[in-house]
Amino acid sequence: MRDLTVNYHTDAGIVRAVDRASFDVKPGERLGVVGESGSGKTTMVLALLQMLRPPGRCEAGTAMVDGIDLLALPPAAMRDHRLRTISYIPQGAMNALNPVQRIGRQMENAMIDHGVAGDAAICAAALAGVSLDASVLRRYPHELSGGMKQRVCIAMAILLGPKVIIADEPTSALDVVTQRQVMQTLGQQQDRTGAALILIGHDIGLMAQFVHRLAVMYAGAIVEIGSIRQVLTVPRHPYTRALIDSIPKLQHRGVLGGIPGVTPSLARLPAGCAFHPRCTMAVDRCRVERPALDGRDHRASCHLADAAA
Amino acid sequence: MSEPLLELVAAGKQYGPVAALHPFSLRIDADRAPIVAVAGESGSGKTTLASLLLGFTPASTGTIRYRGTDIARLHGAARKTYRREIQAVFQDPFAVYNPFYRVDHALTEPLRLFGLASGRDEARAMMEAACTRVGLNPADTLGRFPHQLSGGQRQRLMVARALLLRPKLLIADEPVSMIDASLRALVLGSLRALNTDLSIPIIYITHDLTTAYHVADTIVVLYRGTVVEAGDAASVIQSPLHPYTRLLVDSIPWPDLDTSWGTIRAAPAEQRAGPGTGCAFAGRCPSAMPRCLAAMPPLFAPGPEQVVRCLLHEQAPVCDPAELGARLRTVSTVTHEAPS
Repeated sequence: MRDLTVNYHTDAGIVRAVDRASFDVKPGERLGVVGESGSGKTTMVLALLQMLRPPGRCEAGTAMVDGIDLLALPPAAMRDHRLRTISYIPQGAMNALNPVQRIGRQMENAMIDHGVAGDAAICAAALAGVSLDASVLRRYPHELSGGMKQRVCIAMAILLGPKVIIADEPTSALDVVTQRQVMQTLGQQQDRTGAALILIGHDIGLMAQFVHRLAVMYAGAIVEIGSIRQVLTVPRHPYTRALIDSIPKLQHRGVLGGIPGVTPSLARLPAGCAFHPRCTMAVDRCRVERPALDGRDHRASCHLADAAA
Repeated sequence: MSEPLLELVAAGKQYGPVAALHPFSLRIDADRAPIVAVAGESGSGKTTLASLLLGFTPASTGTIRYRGTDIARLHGAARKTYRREIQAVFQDPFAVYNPFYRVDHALTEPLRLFGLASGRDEARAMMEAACTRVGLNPADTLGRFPHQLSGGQRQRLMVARALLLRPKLLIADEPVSMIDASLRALVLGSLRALNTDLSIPIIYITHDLTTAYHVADTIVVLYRGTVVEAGDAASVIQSPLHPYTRLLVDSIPWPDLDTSWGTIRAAPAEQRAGPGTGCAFAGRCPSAMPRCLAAMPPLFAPGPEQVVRCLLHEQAPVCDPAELGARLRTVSTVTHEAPS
């Protein structure tokens, strides 16, 4: 994905929600995207799927999967690529199941909607892949637990063997034990199919245990991206460092650092680096000049990135 | 020995045939001001416990005593005092505000209802002091509408609201579960400051053991309405005794690349124990034995700081459930490390 840019055209003016976001993700690789609420992570993946709703509009960018630019496709063609080329597990996916339709029917409808004949055998195989019995096909959503519903959503997402799976906080409503089991299922299915996986979330602990690479978003821009080990052990952006310090660790009991201040409104972004009003290291240059995302494998947008590391 | 501030003696809650909370004992002493975390997944009974403590619903069995009086017998002025002295902070910092009013409304209403301020100026001074106390700048906070504040700021303002009423006990029911991880630390920090600076005991209800580990002195782990383990927070997390607590701790995704995640195999939550007798966790337990299903095991006390309801520890002395409250009270207060 290159230079993806999304604007919201509101009555109060144009608001930039995603600013020139770029990343690569290889087959079989897991990329995590973390950021606070409103940092643009969900907007970015919705744009990637051509699922943005007005007033949001994707203004620029390319997203190549197997030589096809998803962002250049007309809506009807994109519809055929969803689920087959790229699939999406939305936040609270389990609440998206139709309460008055059996699971099997919903899974078959998903296939039919994306241009394939509905096939109960394929649905049963997908359920088996997520450790659910074929009898689930005949059940209604209310007969399943939260973890089972989330597994059904994963099974649906992998039904047609997509090249890219996007999971947006797939376990935020589940307890830790179920979360772990659902994430392990998702990981196994991804390993089996060799798909690329993009995991959106705000739990750095979950990212540490699951993804290979991590992107950090702040105020609509990717401010740091690198291997999970690089980003967690030698963060180059002060925001990333503050984010890491704010989460509880097994060692250092009772020590929690917060990030003071508020996420800026996208309509009134500060000049220069968007993080400078909350940054403890800001210098004059940060207030006027916007830093570029610099570096090779491990990139960060901070004037002090190298001094800080 | 001082009189307990709040005491639950085998208090339980039954909804029809379903036991939401099995008889549960706990005592909170005013002079010690502990932070007690009650941890458990959905359906463990933790919110039922909060409802009982706040007097939203009466206990089906046992008694809850506040300053020595059964709360079911509190009426009139005594009930109003109880309502003021036990304050709550709830899960959703978005739903608790009326979006049409400025956030000040959430603070002025309780002051008015309980007649705590003599006039507008005094009310304003009290509100500003409460904001400052939870780390909010009054000038940046008061006079705003809820949507202009972050989730963390709204939740800290809820802590300020509770504080205005000069509570003797704070019940925080999942106060940070809907807030971004980066802002949780600030809310937890203000709770902790209230506890240490003003000696207000806190019952911290959560599904998140990591935050419980960081703020609480004592952790009580509930599973399907039963206390399965309780004790000093560091012991419970660093050396959990019950197979369920072990599974929980093992499932925490620590932000540490060298800690392995999820090495214990256990049946998913849908798999439930059959006859409804015996240990509630037996159906999922990797160490379950046939006799685990025969009867609910008692609480065993393998050490002075931990109790566990599991037959794997049956060689340890049995802890009388009625003594649980007193035993948890004796749990030593942990000292927190200084920032490195």
